[in-house]
Amino acid sequence: MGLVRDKYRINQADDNVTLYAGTAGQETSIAKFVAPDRTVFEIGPEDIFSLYMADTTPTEMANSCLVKLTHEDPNGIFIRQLALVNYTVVTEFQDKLKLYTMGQAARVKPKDRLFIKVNANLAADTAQTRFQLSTTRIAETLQV
Amino acid sequence: MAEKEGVLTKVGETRIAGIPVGAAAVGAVTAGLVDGIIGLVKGVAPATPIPDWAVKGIGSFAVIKWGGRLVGSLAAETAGLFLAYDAVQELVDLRGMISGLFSGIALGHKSPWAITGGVTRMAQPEIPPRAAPRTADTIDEYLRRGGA
Repeated sequence: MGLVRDKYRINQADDNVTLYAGTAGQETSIAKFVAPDRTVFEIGPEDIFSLYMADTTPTEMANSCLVKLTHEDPNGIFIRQLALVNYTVVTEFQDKLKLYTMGQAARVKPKDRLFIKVNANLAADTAQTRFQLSTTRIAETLQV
Repeated sequence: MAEKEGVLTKVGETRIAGIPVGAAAVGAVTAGLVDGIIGLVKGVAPATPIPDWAVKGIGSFAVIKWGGRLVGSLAAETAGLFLAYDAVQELVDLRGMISGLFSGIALGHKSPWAITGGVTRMAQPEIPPRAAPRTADTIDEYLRRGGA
């Protein structure tokens, strides 16, 4: 028995992610990640965060939209803001020179939650939402 | 016979807490000088058949006999003593043998010395390999230890 530590990228396809439709003109959560049991996700200052969102048309959101990434306890009582940036800052997915780096650390424990919240000019469609958040995943090995 | 005065006599009379430190130092310096001279002579005639113990014995005799005029009789006698000790030691490892006699006696603790064919060797203590710091086995433990 032991722990396995590896780099892991959370994205919209992750089993532990739930996507929500956004509401234009007000802050809404468009994605929620719940850390599974027996697993910890550590976010370091060098980890990256990217986001793409559009409405059903699909028309991409305006650059000035606000994007917020928060870390919350399982009850949503304690909320820590990890990022609050304009949408244009996090739109890069590939270019290492343009990727947004977190600049701070967080430890997401089992059942803790990460939220992507946006206040956009258009209503984000779940089918269009894409994001990536690099982390270090620490998980218990399988017990046989 | 009155002690002959040499250049190192005053230094040789130094005692600390009754221990003749000066005599030992002057004797060692003089013996070193004689050793150097012996080495020089052997360097000139490297094929000399004379064994080391004999050379040291002759050196001892010479320094006692004539060295007093140069360094004083105290220093000369001490140096002669050192050289004589070296000569005897070349023949028989008396010191090692005697200390080896006590190696098997345990006085309250196990002796680190052991007799091996007349030569004393220190038994090497077995140093256990340093264990790697244990890492957490479970997530609960990992979190309790603050992520270590």
